[in-house]
Amino acid sequence: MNLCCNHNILLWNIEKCGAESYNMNISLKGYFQIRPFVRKTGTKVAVLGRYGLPFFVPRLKLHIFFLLGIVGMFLFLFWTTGYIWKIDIEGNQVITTEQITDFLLENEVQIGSSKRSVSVEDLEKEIRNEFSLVTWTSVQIEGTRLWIQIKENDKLIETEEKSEEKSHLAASKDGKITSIITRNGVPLVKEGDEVKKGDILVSGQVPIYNDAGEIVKYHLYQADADVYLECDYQFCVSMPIAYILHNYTGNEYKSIYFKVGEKELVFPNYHNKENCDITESHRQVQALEQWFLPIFYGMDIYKEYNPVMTNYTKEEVKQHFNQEINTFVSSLEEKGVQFIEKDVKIEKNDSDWVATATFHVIEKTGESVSIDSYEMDEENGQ
Amino acid sequence: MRENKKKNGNKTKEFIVESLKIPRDIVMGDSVLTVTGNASAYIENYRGILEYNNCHILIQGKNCQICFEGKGLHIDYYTNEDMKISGCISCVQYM
Repeated sequence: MNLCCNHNILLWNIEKCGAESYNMNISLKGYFQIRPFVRKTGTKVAVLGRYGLPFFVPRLKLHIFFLLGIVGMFLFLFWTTGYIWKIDIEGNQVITTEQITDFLLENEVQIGSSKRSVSVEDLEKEIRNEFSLVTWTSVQIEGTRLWIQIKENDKLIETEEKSEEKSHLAASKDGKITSIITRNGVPLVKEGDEVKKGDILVSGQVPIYNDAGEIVKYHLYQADADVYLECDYQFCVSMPIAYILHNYTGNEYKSIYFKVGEKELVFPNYHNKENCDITESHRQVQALEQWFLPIFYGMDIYKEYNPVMTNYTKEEVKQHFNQEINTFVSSLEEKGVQFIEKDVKIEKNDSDWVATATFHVIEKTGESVSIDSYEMDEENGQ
Repeated sequence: MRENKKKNGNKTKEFIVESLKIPRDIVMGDSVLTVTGNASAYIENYRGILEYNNCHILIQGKNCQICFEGKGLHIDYYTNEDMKISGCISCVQYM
């Protein structure tokens, strides 16, 4: 052992076994070098086992197809890393994932596209140009995954176009004026007046009088006022009397799903079975965290049911309409509409339930009408 | 005569080590022993193994002999530079 050590022959895992024998590991090169020392010291060397690459590789030559298989597998894995096998879209709330996927498809980015053909920066620009709602986007290729992160504009910027155009303020609905505060222009109506849609509430033409009280000329302004109108809203919604209830029979059919690239294999195939609800649970094969392969597997479960025509109960109808009406009410409330009275009628005809709701409300009114166009309309009317 | 020369040489080396603050293992060839708990020990600067069995390992250093005693002693590797002993070491003795 000391001679080996002095001649830089590495020995490891030296164990004493028996009275005058030791077990130890030595490299193949070292084994051929120790012969003179063995002769010199009169030691007997016996090989108990052969381990490691120098003994494994010659044995592999006997299993050439196994070796080729391994090499082929690595080549296949290397080849698949050049393509995108998964697209993740995150952060979209208003824009649907389908919209983005369709857009990507138009730009020839889809599952199976070559990574080289996808220009990340161009794609980011394209997304921002295509969807005006997107304020920020990040496109990353991680392994074989295309990861698109999107940030949408939370609040639509309400840009009130404050044009300097001279205009009247006209009623946007029929109703009764409850209050009017004029900032600019000449008010033509007062509190309590009944107005029709399109009537001028505040005129943008301000007359200039001379000392004799005669109109000399008109100064034109953009009429501006807070006008509140008492008016009615009608809301009508309907729903069918009956629906098809899925009465499950308890029979379940399971089929194994397998997909490689675009080829799908379902075994056994129950696609032609009628009256079945299908639950699909598919997973993509993932070699590493970010390394997805174009192989999908999973299970499709077909639950058989008997279709039974069932009428909605009164409670269900009431609940459905309540939900619809509440959505409508909250959309009006967002606009600052004040509710005075609410009247809801639910009626049943041959095929549908119909709810008619009338809301008596106070809302801010007034829409700008260009003075020129209004005069033109007046003239045409005459 | 030869012993006297050796003693003088050692004294000179020790003087150099003391005055220039050079590590003793480089100049004097002292063995370096690093013991981690009682489970393993690394040894550098040695000449060879004198005795080795499961409960006793005797190593020849340049200036002294180092004896490890314990249970299940085992040499993990043994090279010209260093060696590692593992097992349950109960005693390290310089002789």
